[in-house]
Amino acid sequence: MEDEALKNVQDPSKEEKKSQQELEKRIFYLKTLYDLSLEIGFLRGTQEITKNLLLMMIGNFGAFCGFIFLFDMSQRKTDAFSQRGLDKDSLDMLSEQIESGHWIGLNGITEIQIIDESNKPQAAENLFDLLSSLNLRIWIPFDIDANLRGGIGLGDKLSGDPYTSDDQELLLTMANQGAVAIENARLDQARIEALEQSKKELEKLNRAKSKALDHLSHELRTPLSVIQGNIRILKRKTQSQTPPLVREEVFESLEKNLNRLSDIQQETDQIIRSHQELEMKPRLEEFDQAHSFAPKTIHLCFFTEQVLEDVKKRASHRDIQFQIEGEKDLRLVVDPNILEDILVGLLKNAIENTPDEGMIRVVLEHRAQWLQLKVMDFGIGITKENQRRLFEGLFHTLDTELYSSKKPYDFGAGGKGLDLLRLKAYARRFGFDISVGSQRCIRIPTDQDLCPGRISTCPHCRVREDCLNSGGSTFCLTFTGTGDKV
Amino acid sequence: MNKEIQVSISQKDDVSILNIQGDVTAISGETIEEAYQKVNTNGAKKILLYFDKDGYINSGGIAILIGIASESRKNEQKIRITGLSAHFQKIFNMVGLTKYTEIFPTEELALKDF
Repeated sequence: MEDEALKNVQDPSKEEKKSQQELEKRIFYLKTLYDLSLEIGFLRGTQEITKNLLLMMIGNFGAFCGFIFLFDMSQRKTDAFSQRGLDKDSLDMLSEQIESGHWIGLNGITEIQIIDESNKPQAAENLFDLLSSLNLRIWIPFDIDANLRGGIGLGDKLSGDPYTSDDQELLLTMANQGAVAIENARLDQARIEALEQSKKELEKLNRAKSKALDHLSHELRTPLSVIQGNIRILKRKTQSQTPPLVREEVFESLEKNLNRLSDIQQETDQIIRSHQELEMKPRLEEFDQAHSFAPKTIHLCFFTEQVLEDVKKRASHRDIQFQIEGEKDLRLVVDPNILEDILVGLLKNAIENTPDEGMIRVVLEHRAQWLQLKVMDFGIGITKENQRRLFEGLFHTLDTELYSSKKPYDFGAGGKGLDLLRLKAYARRFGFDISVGSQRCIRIPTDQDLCPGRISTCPHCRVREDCLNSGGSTFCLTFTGTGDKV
Repeated sequence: MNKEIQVSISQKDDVSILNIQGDVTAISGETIEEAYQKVNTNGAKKILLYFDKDGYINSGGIAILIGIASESRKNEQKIRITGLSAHFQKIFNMVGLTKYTEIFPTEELALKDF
């Protein structure tokens, strides 16, 4: 040793070369630690992590062979096993030892250990001999916790160099890095399992809730029908008496309220069906669209004009101006029935929230790969609080106390939110986006403030534009991957 | 960001050439292993590993190459290496891979040595 040192002093270039090599080796080792974190940091399986850890160790030190294993103490079975360079006989012998649990004797070796006859530990003599017979040179304990325990054995280096104390330190650091990655992966797995369990429980509760509501809705139907029938009989009998025992208006009020209850019951029933249908549907990515809708290429402007004409007929008792704006030559691949349903729903919602003498605009736009269909009304708008609950279902923009039974398309007719709920369901199922922007009319900021329903009777509007500029809502549908011009 | 690995096999006389483009890691190294097994099954006795000079090789990839070198010895095959950057030539030397195989600066020299 002293002679070598003397030679190096006499030959500074040799000393320099050696230092350079040592430096390069250390840089390589540091790079290995960095690469290891990249290789195993994002893996989520114990087997994958252990396999990669072993390969990084073998490659870093140029080892002939090696193996790694983890044993689940509570289940008494191997959790992970990987090897490199062991022959079949050695492998069989090793697997047998691990499976039988004999390796537990290695607990006697609690620290990294060079396998060398001169330092054979008495506590684990037999297993030490086993490792030696497998041509392994170093043993690294690899325990994740008290239950998941194991080890790593590496063979001699190809270079013939011994494992130094620096090497041992690096091996322990790499093993620790592997243990942390496995612990993280197991924690992640436990979190995912807990979330899945919670999701299942929530789905179960939701189904129970749906079932209960469905039952209640059905239970309401019979007594309502019976009451309606009895009132008709009573009306017939009392009206035939002179003078009538009960006034006509009383029956009218009774019938009106009962009909309203009946409508609510039917709509509730429909909403519950929609919810149940949604719950039954697989997730969007699993959804086989071929079985559910028939897409066609449509000329969007022409299609919109047709739907609008139809809606205008249904709302012919209203005094509203309609406009279609934007690009006239766009085409869209979509199921026409679904798009019609969506458009009718949006237009109906717009009409019911726009006072007479007001305006509704439909805008068709093509932006990059998106095609947007906007329904803009210049009506009463939606308060900020209500905007948040808009697609929750069973939601209408008028307060319940102010809600009166009106015909569809009447101003303020509202609804039970079914159309918006259906829109949300379509968006989920057919992969388009729906968004809403709204400005509540500045003259009627809360739900308790009423719009008279006709611009010319509004005390705040001198001219029509005063109303058009005071509030309104825009529902925007965004379709992707479409919009080719005709 | 790893460069995706691509391994193509070609033949020059009795030498099977594995042209390795991209980074060699524990995971991507399996593609080299598969290519080696293919030429091994075809009875190749002389194999040239031709690396991409710009490619990166990590310790996991080196472990795969050690495995191939070790198996080639059992199968009585000769393995030569070319295309390596000076840095990786040093690394291969450091980990002892050069005891199982030889590195050449050019393809011609490697082919001549078989």
